[in-house]
Amino acid sequence: MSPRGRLRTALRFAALALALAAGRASSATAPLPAAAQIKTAFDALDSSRNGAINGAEWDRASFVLFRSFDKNNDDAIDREELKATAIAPDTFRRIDLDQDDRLNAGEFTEHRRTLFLIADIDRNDYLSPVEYELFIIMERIGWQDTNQNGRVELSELTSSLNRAFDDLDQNRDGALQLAEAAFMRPAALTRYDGNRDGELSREEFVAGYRNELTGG
Amino acid sequence: MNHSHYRILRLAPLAALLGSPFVALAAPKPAAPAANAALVAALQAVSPDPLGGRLGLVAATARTLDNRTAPAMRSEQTAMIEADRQAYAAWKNTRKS
Repeated sequence: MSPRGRLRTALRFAALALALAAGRASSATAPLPAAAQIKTAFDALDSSRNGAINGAEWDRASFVLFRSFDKNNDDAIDREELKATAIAPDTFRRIDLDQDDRLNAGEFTEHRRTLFLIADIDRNDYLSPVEYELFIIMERIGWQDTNQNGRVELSELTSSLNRAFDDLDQNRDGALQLAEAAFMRPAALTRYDGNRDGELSREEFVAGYRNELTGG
Repeated sequence: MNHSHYRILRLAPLAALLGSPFVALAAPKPAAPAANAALVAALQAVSPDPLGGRLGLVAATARTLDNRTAPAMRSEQTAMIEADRQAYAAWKNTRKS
């Protein structure tokens, strides 16, 4: 690797570590929505009703979201409009590519398409219900792009799921009971519970998601 | 299928040749504002930050660094942003018609 490449890699690691630390330190992880809410959102995105969200459906939702935040309809989200949203100011600043202190529809949509690519873990250009559920988890927990390829690898997913488990296991008994896993699709909860004891161990939680993604 | 559907189907290739204003006329009517409001409410209930929360911050940070160190990536991203900006403008115009 050239000196410039090494510098680039070092800079990336340092900045990503800072971003991750800032995200972790900013607040405790916000509670996850209920499974029914996630299903409602998924169904709203899946306008073709084929059980998967494609890029066009995602982009259309991005346009609708952008329009809802652009209160004065000038095709930009400015600092004043930002205050009425839950958009993280640090993310706003970073994706404002032309640095005009406003997000135009292109900057907003392009960043959201990056999120779609990250959420599309099996890389089939569609988001399935399990991928969307994992996306919601990772929005709160974060993700470490260890190999810096902009996509979620299974090893990286395992790391995020382990962190999610630590956050979700509020009574610290080493298992997720129904109340702690209320964000999960009920059928998945049953399927992942290999020993049928009515709760999910860390291993069941992580393996359940991994197996569902890989068809294992 | 009734006659109006046939008419639209016959006009569609011609409309595509003539340009987007005609396509907009032949296209299905845009979703009602109520449907869009429901979509926003549903998404905001599960993802309050539309830019991806902590996941979005990590992605944005990586992009920023890529752009600083690789100018070609920045040019590519600028082109995509412009294309998306135009697509949004076209979508907004379709909603008006």
